[in-house]
Amino acid sequence: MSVASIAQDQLIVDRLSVRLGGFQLHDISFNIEPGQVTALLGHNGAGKTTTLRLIMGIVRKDSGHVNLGGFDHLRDEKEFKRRIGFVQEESFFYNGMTVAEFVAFVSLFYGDWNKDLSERLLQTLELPRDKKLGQLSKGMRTKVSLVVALSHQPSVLLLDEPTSGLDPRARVETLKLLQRVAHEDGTAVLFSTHNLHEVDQIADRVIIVDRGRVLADESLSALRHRFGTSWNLEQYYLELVS
Amino acid sequence: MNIVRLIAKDLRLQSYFFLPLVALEVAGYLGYALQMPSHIPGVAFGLLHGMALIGDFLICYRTMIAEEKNRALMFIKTLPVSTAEIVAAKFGVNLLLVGLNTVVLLALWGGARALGWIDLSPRVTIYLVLSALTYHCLNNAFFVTLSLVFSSERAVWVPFPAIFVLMSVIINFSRIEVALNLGPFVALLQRNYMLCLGILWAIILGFAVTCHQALRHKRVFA
Repeated sequence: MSVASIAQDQLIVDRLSVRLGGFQLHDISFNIEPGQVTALLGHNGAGKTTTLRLIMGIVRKDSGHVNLGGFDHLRDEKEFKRRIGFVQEESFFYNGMTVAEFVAFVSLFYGDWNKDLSERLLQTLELPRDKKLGQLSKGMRTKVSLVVALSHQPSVLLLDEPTSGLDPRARVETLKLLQRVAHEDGTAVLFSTHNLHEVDQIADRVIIVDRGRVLADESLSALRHRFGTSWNLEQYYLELVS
Repeated sequence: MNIVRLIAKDLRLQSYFFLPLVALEVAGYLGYALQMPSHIPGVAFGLLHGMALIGDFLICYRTMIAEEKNRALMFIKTLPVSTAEIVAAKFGVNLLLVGLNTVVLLALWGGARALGWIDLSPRVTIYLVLSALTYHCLNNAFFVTLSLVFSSERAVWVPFPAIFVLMSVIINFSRIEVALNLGPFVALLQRNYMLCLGILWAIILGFAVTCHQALRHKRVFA
């Protein structure tokens, strides 16, 4: 199943800062490359969700820039979002709509919506088309979010803790899908997590955030090469954040 | 087109709610009307207005607050839709539903008069319809603005001081008129009722613009 992107664009996040109550995100900068799975790793409250929401314009930034294929995330809001698929951690949405109605509703906003692809994704992910969203489990709702995030063939896929609360089977399926979308179709995937095992399992790159700062932005293969047989992500992470 | 799509979505989601709402308003009206002294002029029609005012709030509740609780507004913000389109669609669907609700209630009133079931003023005229539409849309737009600008939990407390301020303005209007030298302006409005309604629609438009600006500068869009 191909989820080929319309364009192979790089997502550039440049010195993004915000103060929200007592929490501050300091000059977050990174690039998300096409064809790679990048993990945004950090413990609860590190700034992962805020970073993703800043990119999507849900949280208003104090300073910094976000750019995708020459489109600024605020100035060119619509063009920017046409190129992005976003999966939020808590997917409640419209509980009264069936899965098919919801997918049809979202499809109206994308000129490049691939109907065949959304049908195949619904089948592959075994989603009940006529069931209402309010009757679905959290894992099923995440899968529905994935269908609508992927069916317009985005250049970049952002996911906020996509495996949180999923059963083991759904977790494995979701991780495999992310890997396939990046490696086979060239989509740039950025997913936030606090699960070290997931990062080791599927990520090509890891960005470690703690207390609103980026502590590391490294390729996992480079890290494995540098540390050799002594490589241990858990140890690396704990040394950085302590 | 995005505005139409968002309005169509809300109309579809609220289609199961609208008929029960009208039925509830009519039942509520009849329930109170039977207890009301019919010799006081305007009481019966005022009561109908009162029921429609509750309808204005319930329409806002269904289209705004329930959506905020489900984080659906946050989801819409992730689609290729601008903030202006989100605000325009929310005001659009509210004004449509409130307009329909007001017209249905006025049609029932006019129908009951035509059939001779009630013999009370006012007659349904084009001025009455325009006035009722304007007042109810203004009332609903006020609630929509509160729920978009503030979170719904906070918004629920705002109408109370607002009602107090409005009542104070009404009670003291003659003093305010003298103090601010509004006599000529008030006389102009009394001579030209359509201008008065036009000003109220300008206030509704002002509410929508305020919402757009507030959402653009809101820390978290939700």
